[in-house]
Amino acid sequence: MSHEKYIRQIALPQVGHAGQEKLGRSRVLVVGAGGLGNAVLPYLASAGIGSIGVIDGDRVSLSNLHRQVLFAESDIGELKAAVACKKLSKQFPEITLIPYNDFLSGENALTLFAEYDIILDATDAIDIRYLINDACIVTGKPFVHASIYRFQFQVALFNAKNSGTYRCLYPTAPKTTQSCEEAGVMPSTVAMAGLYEVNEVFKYLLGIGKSQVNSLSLVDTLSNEQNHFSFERKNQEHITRAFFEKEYQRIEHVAFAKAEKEGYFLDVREFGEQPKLVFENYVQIPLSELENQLDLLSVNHPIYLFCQTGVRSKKAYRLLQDKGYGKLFCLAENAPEIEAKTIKIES
Amino acid sequence: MKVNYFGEIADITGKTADDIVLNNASVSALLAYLASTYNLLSDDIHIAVNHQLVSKEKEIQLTETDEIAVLSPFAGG
Repeated sequence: MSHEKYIRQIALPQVGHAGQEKLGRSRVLVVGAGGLGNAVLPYLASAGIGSIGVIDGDRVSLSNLHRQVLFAESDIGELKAAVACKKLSKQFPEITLIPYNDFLSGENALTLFAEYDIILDATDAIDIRYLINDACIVTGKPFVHASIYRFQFQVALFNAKNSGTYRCLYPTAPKTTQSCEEAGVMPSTVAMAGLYEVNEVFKYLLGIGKSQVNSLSLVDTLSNEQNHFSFERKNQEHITRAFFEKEYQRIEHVAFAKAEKEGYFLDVREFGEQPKLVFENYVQIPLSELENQLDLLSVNHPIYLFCQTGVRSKKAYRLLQDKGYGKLFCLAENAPEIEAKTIKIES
Repeated sequence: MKVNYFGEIADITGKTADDIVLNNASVSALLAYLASTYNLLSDDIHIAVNHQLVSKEKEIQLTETDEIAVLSPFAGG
């Protein structure tokens, strides 16, 4: 690879020819080709990262264009990963861009991560961040994280050289959070968050500067204030391949209307939660009592699990799976949606 | 003590900072205050004392000069 294109960054004593060679040999996987993905990809490519993978199963829509600047109106309806790679390949023909037109999942994460040096989190869903985190622990890969809420963003580098992980910072997911789609965002905020991420990637790959490890950077773009919050590294030895496979193996989802007649609808919410539901074959056993009340559940009938948001029904699914229940499904809908499809009982 | 709110938390409290006085100030007393004043659930928030995130399970005493931050994970990207 000719280094002439990169001569301005090679001129930096912290980079030099050796640093440029390192970047050229590096493989970076970007998870998500949305706002953050569009911010990081041009700069990873322009700096001469040798191989860049992009995974996203989503397609371009009109409301993406204000912050996802690699896409044109003529790309609407096209696969984001494919369009981004095609565009960047034209601009930077000397590097390798690999699109994966699929969503990251428990089935593909470990194989994919194993092929890269560092993972860049450019997603917009917290549950996927736990998937990235756990897959990085299992495969021994570092990952750079950024996330945005309106005019603020958070950035950190996790699981790098024994540093803390996303679970050390946030052991469990909150019940509700808003994505950019719901909360609103300016393109400049997404771009800044993305560039902080790219900068962490460069520092890590080149071994220069101070990486944002064991500490979260929180930037407010309205005040330009920046806070750093340090956190303790916790033992993550329980995040093993077996844990990962169990946590992220596919859960069978089925629509309420498609449930079989001989099955039971198992509500695992606590008693007293609203909306109160009563309909044919409805059973309520709170998740907290489920393990002690298994005698109420037949292994021979299909069980359709639901709760308020889908978090507890997933836990109940895993618990019943462990106890040998085979005909298990999580309902695609939860209590509020089911209420709309059944007759409401006044409490 | 000074309490700063970040992200969605600041939208819920309607302000970016508070100056509060707690009797027998501790992290658990702060969590109780946030729950009763703003309906912020302990499970959904994280507390930093002087820029160090702390365990909500441990009984940690706070002093008037401590700078508190209340934050949560952001989803957007």
